[in-house]
Amino acid sequence: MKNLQKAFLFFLLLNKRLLKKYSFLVILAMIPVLAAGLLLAAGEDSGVLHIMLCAEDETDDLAKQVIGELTGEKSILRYSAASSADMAYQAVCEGEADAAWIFAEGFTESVEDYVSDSGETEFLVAVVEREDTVFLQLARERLYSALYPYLSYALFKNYITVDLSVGVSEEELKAEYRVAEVDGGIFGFSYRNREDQADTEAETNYLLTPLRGLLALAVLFCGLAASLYYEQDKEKRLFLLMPAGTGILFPYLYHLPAVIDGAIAALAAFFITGIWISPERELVLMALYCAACTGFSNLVRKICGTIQRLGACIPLLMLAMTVLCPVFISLKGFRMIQQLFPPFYYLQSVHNVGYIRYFLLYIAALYGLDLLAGARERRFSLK
Amino acid sequence: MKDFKNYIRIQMKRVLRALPAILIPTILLAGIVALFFLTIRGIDEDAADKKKVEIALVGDLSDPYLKLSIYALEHLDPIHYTVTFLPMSEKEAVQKLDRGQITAYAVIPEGLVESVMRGENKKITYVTAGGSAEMVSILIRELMESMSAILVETQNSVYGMQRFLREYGMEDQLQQATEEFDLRYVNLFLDRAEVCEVQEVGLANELSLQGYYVCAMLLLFLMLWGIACSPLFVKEDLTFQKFLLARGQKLWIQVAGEYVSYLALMAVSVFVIAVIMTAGLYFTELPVPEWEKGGSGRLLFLVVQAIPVMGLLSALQLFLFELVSGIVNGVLVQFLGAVCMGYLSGCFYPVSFLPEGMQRISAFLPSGMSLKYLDVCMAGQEKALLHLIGMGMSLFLFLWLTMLVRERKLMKN
Amino acid sequence: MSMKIEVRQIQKKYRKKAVLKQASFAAESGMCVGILGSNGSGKSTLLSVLAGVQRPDGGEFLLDGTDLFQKRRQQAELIGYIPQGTPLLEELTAWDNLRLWYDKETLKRELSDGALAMLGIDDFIKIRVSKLSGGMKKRLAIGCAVAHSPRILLLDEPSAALDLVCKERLAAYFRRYKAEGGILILATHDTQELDLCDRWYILRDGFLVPYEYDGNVSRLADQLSR
Repeated sequence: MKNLQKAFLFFLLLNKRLLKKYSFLVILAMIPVLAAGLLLAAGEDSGVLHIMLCAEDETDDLAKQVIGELTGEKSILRYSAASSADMAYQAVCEGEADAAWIFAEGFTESVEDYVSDSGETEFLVAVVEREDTVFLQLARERLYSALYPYLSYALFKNYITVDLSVGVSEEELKAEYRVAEVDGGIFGFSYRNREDQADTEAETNYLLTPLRGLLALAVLFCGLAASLYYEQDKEKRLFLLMPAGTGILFPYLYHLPAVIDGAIAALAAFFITGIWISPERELVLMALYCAACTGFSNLVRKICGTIQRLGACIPLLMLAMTVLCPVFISLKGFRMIQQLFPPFYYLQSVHNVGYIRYFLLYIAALYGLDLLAGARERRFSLK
Repeated sequence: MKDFKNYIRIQMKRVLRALPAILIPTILLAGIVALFFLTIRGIDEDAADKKKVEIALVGDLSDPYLKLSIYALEHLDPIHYTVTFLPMSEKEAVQKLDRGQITAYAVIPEGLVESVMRGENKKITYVTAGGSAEMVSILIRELMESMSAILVETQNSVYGMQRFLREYGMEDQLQQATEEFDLRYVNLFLDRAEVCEVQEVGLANELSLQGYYVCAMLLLFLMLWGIACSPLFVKEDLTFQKFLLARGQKLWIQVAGEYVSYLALMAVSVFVIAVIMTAGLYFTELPVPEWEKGGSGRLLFLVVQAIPVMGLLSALQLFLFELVSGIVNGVLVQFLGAVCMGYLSGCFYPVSFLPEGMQRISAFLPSGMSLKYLDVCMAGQEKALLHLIGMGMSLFLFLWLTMLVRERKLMKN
Repeated sequence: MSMKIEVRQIQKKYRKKAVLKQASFAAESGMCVGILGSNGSGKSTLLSVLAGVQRPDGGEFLLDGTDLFQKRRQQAELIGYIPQGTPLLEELTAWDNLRLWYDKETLKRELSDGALAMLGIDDFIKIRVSKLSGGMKKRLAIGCAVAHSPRILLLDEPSAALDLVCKERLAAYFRRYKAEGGILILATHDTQELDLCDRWYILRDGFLVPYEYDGNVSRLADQLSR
């Protein structure tokens, strides 16, 4: 009990000391700043592709309507209306836009002609691109789905009035077309853990998507920063003053405040930005992640041995984790290397509770290795 | 002037001695940045195959209409260029998803086709792994929502047509009309690529996405490179600087001497890496459209063109080192500076993905200016001079700020 | 050639706190002045102001009537200054560090029979500074500081944490420096160095108060603690 009290006192004192280091405060401040920055950015008008829209015939109502619908929707694509086809074309050539969708002259009539049996299929929209990337191909699907209701109605009208030769007014046709009103889409989205049916809006915004991964990296970064401070204190022979018997646990105790401070800031950021799932899930996972980060940082510190090597190693590790863990991209084919890093387990477990067992195994392995490395370190220091 | 020369000479000697130690992390860093580039762009020897999104199909696939639809999607539909569908059992799909071998799996419910026929759409569940919420997933999601909207619109139309026939007493034609009508919709859907005419104007003087990422990764590499220099340039105390000042070595001599040696160290490290990479490219041929004419030597040429960027980033990194004391703070500040500026300037996402406000901020950041300049060089445009002026002004600003900070520290000490 | 320095009413403030209020003293050729004071009293500040590292807020530093604060170049030529710590490039050898201040020929000459020989620098000339002991580093720093043969040498606690042999070596060098007509100004607590001095001043509340050191350390400690 006394030892526990002492450990807690150490924890508090180390935390107090840590919160007085201005470099650590900068790292900690980075967490809410990053979250707020991304939240603000996500609220602004942005998109992975910038598409210019314009109608060759400005008086064409249908073209205007489609353009209005596209520019008004919230999407991963950013649309803006161009005043003329030339301007849209120029914007693409000069790299200001990724594509221009130019609605052909006589668009309204063309839609009707397109579905008729005339055999001539004139294109409805001229798409101007500099190069045809996968993103632009997928974006064209969105163009098609925007045109589809009009094409579908034109097909319906054409079939009734031409193929079935029924004389009927436009109003009546429109009423019949809409009367069925099938409910709901055909796709539902879920994570590996089937209870997590719904996504928060934040998780489907491409600017906020990497937030959880980035914050997980920030928490680990706090742990690695604590490793640097530890080495610095060791060089200054600060630990000679430590009472005997704290040897094995002390390095963990030293890292823990930094990791916990980072974790608290990250949890607050999850809550504010709306990617928070549930208190039980977030707290349990974060507790495991703190344990993993503490063990990992300590192990890296022991492997590096000196502050210089550790300093050179941290950016490499951070960059490797940014690439290999599913922060921005989910990489295939590097699973063995991915499994070396704590953020990978944390991110995998977020929507897949079953993965927690691997997470626990990883933590056990980490501490096992860490203790082995620790025994080696102690032997050297005794010599 | 003699003092200046002497100081530069001694600083150069100092950094050149540290060069071997700096080259090891630099090579590792270059390797990781190159991996990052390959990952982002999916550039691989089998790029054509691996770029596709692999989605497993599980559940009831026995319906002949469903089989036909999957066949059509895989072979006739434009989507087959981007997505591959792999039928398998749910257990297998779960395992593959956990191992990261597929992007997602779709669970087809029993009696899906009948439900669609009746207009009571049962849902296909699209299942992704926990940590893989990323750009491709979001795009696929948008695509599926579009597909879903198309299906619902079609159903509305088909039921509308059937209702119409019933109301007009043409029930005898219902079966044939429905089949004909469905066929037209299938044609309309499969021929959807015909709706638009795609005109590729070519890259002309603009940058391809691959070209952009080469510039972005070069910039990220240069920004992170500074960390390796922390033990050499972060000052634990200012004793040596005080000594220099007392000997009449003015602040500008000190800062300029350190700057020149820092820049030289950066340039030498980067050239060594560039030569190694150029040799590597000679065998692999990086598919960057801008380099098609010049071959692998273009990387080396780009690095030569990047000397002004190195100049600016050296000044920035020296300034950051001046702001802090102690190696710990040096490493942390350099890393955070590189990552934050890299993000804002489009090293992780292209800058055009960011909102306009952030793009405006980026234009004034040294990293943003540098990336713009590299883009211009890569694309072979002639606007480089304009960017060089801005970069030159920033360079002097950072050197002046470094002097100012040093003076303040010496005065305060 | 004999000379006389006069430090008059030097003032230095850090933000609002005045560290030096009216610090004044005088010295002549061949003299050693000891500046005493408790920790944080402003000894290092006074030396760095005299060395030209920091600008004073007021006062004069007269050499034979010429104010050195107004003649920065002359000040740098006349003064050698060794701050606390190690003013050396740790990654380089002793030779490299000296080469920053000496041309090759002079350096070789000094190492064989000049000031550098007396400081015993030749023993570790090819060793990297980071591997030198504290005493070697201090001798090397002095070697660097006297490259331009300064007539005034300012030393901030030169023998702190040095062993007896090293202290003796430095003391021998300081005696010779004095004998050659140089002026030594030492900020110190070391009794051996105090014995070298001809005048002593205690820096207290920003003022330099003359003190007569008689070897009685208890009395000195009592004075310093006031």
